Amino acid sequence: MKKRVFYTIIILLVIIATSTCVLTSLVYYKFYEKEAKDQIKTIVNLTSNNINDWSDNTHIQNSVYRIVKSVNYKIRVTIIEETGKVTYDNYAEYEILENHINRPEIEKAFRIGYGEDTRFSNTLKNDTYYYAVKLGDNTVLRVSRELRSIRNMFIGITPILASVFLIIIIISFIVASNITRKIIRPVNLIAESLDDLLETDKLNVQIDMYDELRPFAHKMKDQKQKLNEYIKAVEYERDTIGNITENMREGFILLNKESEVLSINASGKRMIGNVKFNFHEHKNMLELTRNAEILKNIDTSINGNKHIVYDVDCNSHQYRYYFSPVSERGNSNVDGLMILIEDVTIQKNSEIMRQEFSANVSHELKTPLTTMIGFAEMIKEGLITDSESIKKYCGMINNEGLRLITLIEDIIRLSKIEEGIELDNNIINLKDVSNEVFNLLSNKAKDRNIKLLSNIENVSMKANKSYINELLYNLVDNSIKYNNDGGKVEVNINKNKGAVNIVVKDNGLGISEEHLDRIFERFYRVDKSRSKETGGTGLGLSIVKHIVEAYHGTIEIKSKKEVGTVIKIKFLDN
Amino acid sequence: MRGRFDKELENLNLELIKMGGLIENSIETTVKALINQDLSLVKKVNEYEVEIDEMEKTIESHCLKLLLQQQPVASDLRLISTALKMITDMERIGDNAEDIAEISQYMVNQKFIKNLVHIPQMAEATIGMVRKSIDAFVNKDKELALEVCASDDIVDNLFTIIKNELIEKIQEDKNNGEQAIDLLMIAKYFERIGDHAENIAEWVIFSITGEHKYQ
Repeated sequence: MKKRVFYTIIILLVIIATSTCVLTSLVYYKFYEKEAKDQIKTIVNLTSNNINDWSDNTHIQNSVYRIVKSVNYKIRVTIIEETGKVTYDNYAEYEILENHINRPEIEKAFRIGYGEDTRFSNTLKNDTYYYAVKLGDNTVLRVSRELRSIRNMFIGITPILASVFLIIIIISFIVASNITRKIIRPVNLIAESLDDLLETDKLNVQIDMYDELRPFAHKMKDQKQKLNEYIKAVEYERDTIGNITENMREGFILLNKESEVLSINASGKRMIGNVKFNFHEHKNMLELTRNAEILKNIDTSINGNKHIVYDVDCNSHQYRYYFSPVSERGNSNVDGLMILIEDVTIQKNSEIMRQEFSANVSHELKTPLTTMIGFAEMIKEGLITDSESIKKYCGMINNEGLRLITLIEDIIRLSKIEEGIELDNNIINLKDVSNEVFNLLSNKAKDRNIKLLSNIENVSMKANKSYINELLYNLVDNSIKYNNDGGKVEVNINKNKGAVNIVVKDNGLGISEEHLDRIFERFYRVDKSRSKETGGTGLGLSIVKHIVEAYHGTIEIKSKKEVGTVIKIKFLDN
Repeated sequence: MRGRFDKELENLNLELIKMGGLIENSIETTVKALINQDLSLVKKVNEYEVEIDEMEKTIESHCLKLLLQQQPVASDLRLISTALKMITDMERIGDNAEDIAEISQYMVNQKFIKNLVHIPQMAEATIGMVRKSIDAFVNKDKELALEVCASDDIVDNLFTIIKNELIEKIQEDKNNGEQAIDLLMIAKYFERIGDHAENIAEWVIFSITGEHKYQ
């Protein structure tokens, strides 16, 4: 802009200067020419007045010589008679000069008294100006001057003209740059203070600016505001998406067609096992993981444009990978790949547990049935005939049947507790409940000479009586079952700070540490070979745990092999 | 021109990582085949071996092409020469994995003469070394590469322990001899893999610093 303004001004000034110079010189030249011609006229008039005797050539010669001497340029003086014969000429030998009657200026002079002409002179061999005057004695005095001499005079002043022109040009340069600066300055000022201008509302006062630029500045301000809003919206969107993906528990990886990582969240890095991965430094998926199965699935998914679900083990976790090809709307070409990773360890483990459970259930159910069918078959086939034996085997069948029923009842109860139904709660007195349990188990304890000790406060809580009965029965039963003959079982129940504490303690066989984590599992038996002997279904503690959980209590077990076991249950006051 | 060369170098880098991934997978599969006595995995190791050999040839010709056509200097030249050395070691690791798989193929139907305790440990240590050496290459991580070089001693120690155990087993019962020798060879192969991993790590250090241990 600055250059343009400057050049425009310069060109303008140069054109003005040049045309002024040219026009002035033209006018000056014309004026000078006229002046020169007027001089000739004056000379002619002077000469005609000075000379008295026109026939005396010597006298004429002297007068002319005087006049010629008084001017600093050459003039030619000619006297012509009426006939056209030249009678005097100070330049050429007049005797040999041709008749001059046809010269326009002379002819005119004879006619109207004076005449002038400009033409090529044969005598002077140049463009010449002629002026003629008719004298009293019917002769004509003609004075002529070469035009070249006028031009030469004029050329003499051109250096001055040129230097003037040069000075004008220089001045116009300086003026132009000054003007340019002045014009540009407000614009520059706006550009310099644009940031301030756009940030604050000083638009009207602070800056000396062209009025024509104000709408422009306002427009810019508006645009800037719009742009800011737009950027904010985009940033917000980006941050939202960024936060969502970053805080996702699932791993998220976005790849382009060339398997280069475009985006990955923290969970993704952790799950794929490369926490240090920095996707600004590294790009390719190969640098993220070298797991052949994952890489193969990426290839298949991208090239085959199909959704793949694949499970991968990594650091003793099971991860499920979902490979989904990404394509632009309405386009079937694959542009990239989205990978979602889900931690399915818990699901997998519970699946395994379920499988184990159903295997256990079928085994536990089948065992008594096999025994029963075996004995029944023997009797049916007549292998056992004496009534004593039949009685004995039928007793065994009966026992197995009872065992089966107990087992099935346990399973039903467990599933009922699990489902959380049948919870019609009343205020029950724990002392009553435990007394009932002791009555039921006292014979069993007496058989093995086990002491049942109790320290039970008069505590009541809101619960289902049969559940609490079941809970205490199972715990005390276990303590008796897994005890040494002559051992002891101690039950303490008290209420402390609103919490009901039930502690069952024995000095029996104890449980070694490796089993402690698993004893609440269904059908889990510490000593599998003894299960038959002691009876039980392997569901007791599992039921206990579920009852405790149903009342939002906590259960804690401490045990040492050959020392004994302590089970602490705590119900918060409900 | 330079842009294309950079692209080629990047491709070379990725090819090396890919080959590294293949050998990792190959060893892991081998170990599984050995411990789980799974014949189908042995087959898989053979497939990996073919792929690894293929990869070695591809990378080698790629390197030679780059050397001839681009006449690289400084770190570019180091990367390419490192690549040439690394593929040799990686290919050897692939071979060793296949050798282990081949031996374990005979043991599929045998009962192990002893609980495999130290061999899985050794396998884990060597897999760790290979993985770390490739990681060091991927991340241009000198420290990690040095770590690999240091952990070779662990593998060597385990080899000695296994050797002594097997000697005991043979002394106990002459019939253990055949399997003991097989197991010893497997241990030896793992030890070799460890050495190759160490070599790779040394070359990684060379490609980063321009200095090699034996120069």
